[in-house]
Amino acid sequence: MEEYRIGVYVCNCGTNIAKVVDCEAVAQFAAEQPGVVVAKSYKYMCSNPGQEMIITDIQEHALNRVVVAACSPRMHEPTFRKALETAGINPYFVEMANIREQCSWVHDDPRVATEKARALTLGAIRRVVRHQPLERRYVDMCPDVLVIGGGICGMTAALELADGGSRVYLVEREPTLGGNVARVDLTAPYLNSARDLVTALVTRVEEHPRIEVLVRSQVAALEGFVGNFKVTVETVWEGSASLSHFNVGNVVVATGYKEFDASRVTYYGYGKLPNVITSFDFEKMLKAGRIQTKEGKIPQYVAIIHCVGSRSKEFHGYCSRVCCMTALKYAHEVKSAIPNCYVSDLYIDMHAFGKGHEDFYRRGSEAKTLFLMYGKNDHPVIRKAGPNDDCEMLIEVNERL
Amino acid sequence: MAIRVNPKLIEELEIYGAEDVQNCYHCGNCSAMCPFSEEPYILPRRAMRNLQMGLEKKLESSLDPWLCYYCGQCTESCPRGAEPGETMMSLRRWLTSRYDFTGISRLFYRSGKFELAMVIGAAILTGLAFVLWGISRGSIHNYDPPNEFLARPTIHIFDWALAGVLLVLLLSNCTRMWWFTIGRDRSIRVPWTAYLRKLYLLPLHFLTQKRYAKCERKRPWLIHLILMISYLIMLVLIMFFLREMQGGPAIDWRVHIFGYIATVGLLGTTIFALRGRFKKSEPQYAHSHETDWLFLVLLILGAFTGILQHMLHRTGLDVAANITYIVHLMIVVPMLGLEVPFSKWSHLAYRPLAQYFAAVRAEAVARVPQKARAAVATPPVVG
Repeated sequence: MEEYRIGVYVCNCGTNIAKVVDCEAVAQFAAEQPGVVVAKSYKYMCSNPGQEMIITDIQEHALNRVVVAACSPRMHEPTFRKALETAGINPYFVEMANIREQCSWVHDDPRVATEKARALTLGAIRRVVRHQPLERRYVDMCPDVLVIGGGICGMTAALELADGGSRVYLVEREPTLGGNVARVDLTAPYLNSARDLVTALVTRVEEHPRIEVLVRSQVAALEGFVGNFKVTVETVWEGSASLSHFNVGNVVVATGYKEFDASRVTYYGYGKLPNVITSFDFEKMLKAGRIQTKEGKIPQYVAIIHCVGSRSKEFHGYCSRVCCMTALKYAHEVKSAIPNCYVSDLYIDMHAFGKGHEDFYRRGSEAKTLFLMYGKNDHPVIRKAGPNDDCEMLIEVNERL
Repeated sequence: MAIRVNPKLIEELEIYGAEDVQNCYHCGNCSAMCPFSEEPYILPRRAMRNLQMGLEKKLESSLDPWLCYYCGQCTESCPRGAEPGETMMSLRRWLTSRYDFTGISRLFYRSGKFELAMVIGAAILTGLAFVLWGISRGSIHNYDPPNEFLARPTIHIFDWALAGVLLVLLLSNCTRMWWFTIGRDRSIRVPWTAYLRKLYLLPLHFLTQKRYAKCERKRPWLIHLILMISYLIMLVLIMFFLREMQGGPAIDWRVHIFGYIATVGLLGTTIFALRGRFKKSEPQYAHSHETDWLFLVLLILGAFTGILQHMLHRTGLDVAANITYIVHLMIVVPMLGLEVPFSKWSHLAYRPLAQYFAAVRAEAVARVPQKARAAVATPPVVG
C-alpha cells in the first residue's frame, strides 16, 4: 500500500473565509488526521507565495497528495493543479474543499461554520487518497456542425456558425426551408412581415459557401461521441431514396413544434362548427389577403380564444407563451381589415412579458377590442346559435372581470 | 343564466360623451380612489365593465352613476386614460334620456343642434306670445300697474301652470327611474314602510347635497350649493312673491334683499363654472358636452336679464325694462320647460331620488337572509 503523504492548506482568502471560519482551528484539525504531514493556514493560497508554499512543501516533505480548503474549484482548481505540476507530481492529485462559497459566504454563525469547514476538509482528505494519476489527452474534434431543422431557429443557428467559420450541414425534412414561420403573415408585436424575415434568411443560407443544405432529408443514423459524430442522412426525391454520410463534431437540434390538435377540445367545436378556426388557418387567410367565413362572407363578430390546449388539466399544464401576443396581433389585423367588426378576446391572463408587449396590449384596447377573462379550468363553450338568434354561433363565458 | 353581450352600446354612449372606455383593463385604481366606492356600489369600475360588455338592462337599472359626483380622482389615477369620470357623466346623461318616456330627451342629448333649435324655437314662440299679449293688454311704456305691459297676476298664473306641467313630466320620469332601479327588480321585496321611513332623505339631500360634501375637494360642493340655493331663493320669490318683486316704484327690502343675494350667487357661480369649463381647470371641467354648455349659458343669461330688467326699471327706463323682461321670459321659459324634464336640469330630482332609492334598497336587502344576499346586492338584470 502506498504511503500517503497529504498536505492540507486552509486559505483565509483575506477575510472572506477567515471572518467566519476559524482557519487555524481547521488546519489544526486537519493536522490530526492520519496521513496528513503538513497542515497550514495562510492568507491567500492562490497568490504566488501561496503557490510557492505548496511547491516547496511538496519537494521538501515529499507530499504525494494535496488538499486546498478555499474557494470553489471553479475558481482556482487549475491554479493548484499547475502548482502540483510545477512541483513535479501529477496535477490531479489535488482536491479542493469549498469552504468559501459553500461555507463562509453562506453562514453567519462562526461556530457552526467552522464545524462545517472541518467536515468539508475531512471529506476532501479522505477523497484525495483515491485520486488516480490522470493523463491529459488531446483528441481531434471535427469542427463541422449538423443542424437538424431548417426553420427560423435552424437557419439562424446555421448562419451564426457558418459566419463564425464552421462548416454546417443543414438538414430539412420538407422540400423548402422556413418551417412554421413561413406559414405566418406578420409578427407580433411590431407587425413586421414574417415572409421578409424568412426570405432574407433563406437567401443567405442558400448562398452561404459554408452551409450545405439538404432538403427532403431526415437524419437516419447518428453514431460516435461528442466531437466526433458520424451522420447518415436519407434524402427522398421523386420516389428514390439516397444516403449521404459525413462527420460532424456537434449537433444542433432545431426541429421546431407541431401545433396542438384543436379538435381535441370538444367544447370549442373545431372540426364541427365550420367557422371555428385555428391560428394557422387564419394565417392562411391573412396571407391570401382576405378574411372571410367559410361561406365567403365578411365576419361581423370575431372572437379570439387564448390558451387552447394549454394551461389546462385536461391537455397541457404549461402556458404556450405565444398565444397572447398572437391573439392581440389578430385583433389588430381584423380591426384594420374590417373596421366595424366587433372583436373580443377571451383570455385567462394577459401575458405581456416582453419588450413592446404591454404597449401592444394597450393599442389593442384602444382599437376597441373587448377583453373577457375566464378562469383557468372554467373554459368558455362555443355552440351553434339557435334559429331565433341573429348570429351563427354563441360563446358562453364565465366572465371574471 | 347567461346574459348576451351587446358590443354596440359603447357607440351609443359615445354620443353622450363616453371616450376610450375600451382602454380600461380593470386594474381597479379608480374604485380604490373613489370616496364613494363601497359595497354594494363599486364605483366606477363596475359601470365601466357593464358598459364595455354592453349590458344595457343592467346599466339602466343601475344607481351607480348617480352616486358619483365627478371629483375626477378616478380619471386622474387611471393608468390607461380610460376616462372613468367622464364615462360616469355620460352614463348620467344616458340615464336621463332613458328615464324620459317621451323620447325628446334622447333627441336633445344626441344632437346639441337640435336642442339649441328647440330652445330658440321655444324662445321665439314665448317672445311672440308675450309681446302680442302685452300689446293687447297694456302699454310698453308702463312697467308697473296700471296699464302695465306684462300683468303680474297673469304671469303668476302662467308660472304656476308651467310648473304644473313640468312637475307632471318630471314625476313620470321619476316613476320610470323607480321602476328601473327598484320596481322591476324581482330579487328584492321592498316593504312600503321603508319608503316612509326613508322619506326624510329626499328633502335632506335636495337641500344640502351632503353626499357631494364627502368628496375630498369641498369647493365643488360649495359652489354647487350656493348655485342651487340662489336658484331656489329666486324660484320661491317668483312663485310666491312676484307681486312684491315687481310691485311698483316702492322697494320692499324684505323681498329685494333676497333677490340681490340670489342674483349674486347665480351670477358668481355660473361665471366660475363657465370659466372653469373654458380653461378646463378641474377634472370635471375637462370635458364639456353640448348640454353642459347650454345649461350654463341659459342660467347666466336668465340671471343677467333678470337683474338687468330690475335695474332698468329702477332707473326709470321702463320701455327698456319691459323689453328686457320679454327677453328674460324668452330665456327662462324654454330653460324651465325643456331643461327640467328633458335635459340636465332633471338631476335636481334624480340625485336626491338616487340617495332615497339606495337607502330603500339597502333596507330591503338587509331583510334578505345572509346567504342569498350576494345575488341581490345590486340591481340585477331582469329577463
